Amino acid sequence: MDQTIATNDAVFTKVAELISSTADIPLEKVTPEARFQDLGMDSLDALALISDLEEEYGIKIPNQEILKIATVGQAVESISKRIQ
Amino acid sequence: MRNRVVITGLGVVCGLGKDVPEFWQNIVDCKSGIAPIESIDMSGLRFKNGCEVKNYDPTQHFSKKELDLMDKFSQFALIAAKEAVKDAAIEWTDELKKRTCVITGTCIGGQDAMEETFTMLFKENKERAPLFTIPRVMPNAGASHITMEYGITGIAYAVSTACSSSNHAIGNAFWLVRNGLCDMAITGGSEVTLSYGYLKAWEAIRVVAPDTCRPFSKTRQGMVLGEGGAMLVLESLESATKRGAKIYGEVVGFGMSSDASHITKPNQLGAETAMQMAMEDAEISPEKIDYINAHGTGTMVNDAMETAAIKNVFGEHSKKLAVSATKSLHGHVLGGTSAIEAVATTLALKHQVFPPTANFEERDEECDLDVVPNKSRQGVINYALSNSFAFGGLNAVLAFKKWDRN
Repeated sequence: MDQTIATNDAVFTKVAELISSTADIPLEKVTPEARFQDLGMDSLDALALISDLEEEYGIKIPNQEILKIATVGQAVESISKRIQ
Repeated sequence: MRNRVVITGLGVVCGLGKDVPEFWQNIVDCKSGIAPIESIDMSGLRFKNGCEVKNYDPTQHFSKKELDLMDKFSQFALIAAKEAVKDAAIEWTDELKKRTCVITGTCIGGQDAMEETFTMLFKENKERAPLFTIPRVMPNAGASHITMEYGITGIAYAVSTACSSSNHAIGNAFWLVRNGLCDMAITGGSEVTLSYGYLKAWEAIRVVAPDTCRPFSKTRQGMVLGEGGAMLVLESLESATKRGAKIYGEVVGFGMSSDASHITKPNQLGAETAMQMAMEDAEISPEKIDYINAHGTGTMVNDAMETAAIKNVFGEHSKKLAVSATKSLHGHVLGGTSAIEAVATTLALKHQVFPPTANFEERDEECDLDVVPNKSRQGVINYALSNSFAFGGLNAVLAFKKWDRN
């Protein structure tokens, strides 16, 4: 359990930093609850981000799952469960 | 009811000029844009020259986010459209957005984006293609970006008929406005031919000149590829009059044919038919034509065939015609080339100047027309044709008229 939390935190930090730098958004605004659209990212921006993260972590998220990811937290969860 | 269709805005970006004034000045001065290609490594190619848009900086025109989604051919389409729309001083209303069509031509769309992706996958062994490859490559992207820029919700599509693409596009738009389906059209085309793989493909088919483009010269050795785009704003005379728009000229006829004979070798009858149909559509006799902007690629086969076709269609009148090939100035921009030539022809009518055939050296018996060699010329131009005869045998000819309200 602790291991899961640690992984989620590490992934969140990575995702948040990436969003902050690529979308030019202050880091503190990138919360797990934040929706990509609220961060000024459209569906293609979100898809580009998650595709980068797939490569970064060497994972493959299925299309039907990737297209449902609407928040930062959902992205973190989708990645975390594949790297534990 | 048939609307008269007038030209109220022009835009162009190509190796001859990054806007309409520069483009026209270089035509008048017969200053060809053909030069060594600088943007790619040409050491593996048999030819070195092209007609590039020199010092092109996309960030001067688009944000990074926009550029992610736009290949260069779409950028050229939108840059030309913006100049044309601004030139036409259009004030958009919801009704006008619904009643405007956007018809664009391109031969290969975002070929260079596809090439980048293939390089990553096959050469660099990357596992994933860039996310935006598909929206960048699709040949309708130019038309789509223009609709999105202005919120145009009317008829919009892209036409692909190789070197005739943008004449087919403009002709389609002309008919839509003439027949009352639209009040206004933004139409033309764009192309980016300058990527290594695509140039190698042209090299293989042996029609690119090792030196320069010399249409109708005895010493001609082929075509020279270019890049760029051009757009025209067409509108019904009623619409233009109502809003007090300035008028450059009038589109009066459109003719099309297909050779149905050979995939690369042009057919004289097909070319003749398209010219005749354009004049029939315009309800004018051949003797009315003063100028033809020729397809004039600079290949042995095209220029001799086109000359024979013109002589057959115009008879004795062919001796009085001025026939020039502006590809000697702006290169062959494939799917965008007819739009560039439509802008040149429109400006020729407006300024009453015959555009020249540049790089002309020696007269060829098989091309014995007045080709306006190496120097533009003042003259009387009431009606003009602009010819396009594509690989695949798909021909499209437009007929233009000097602006005269009567």
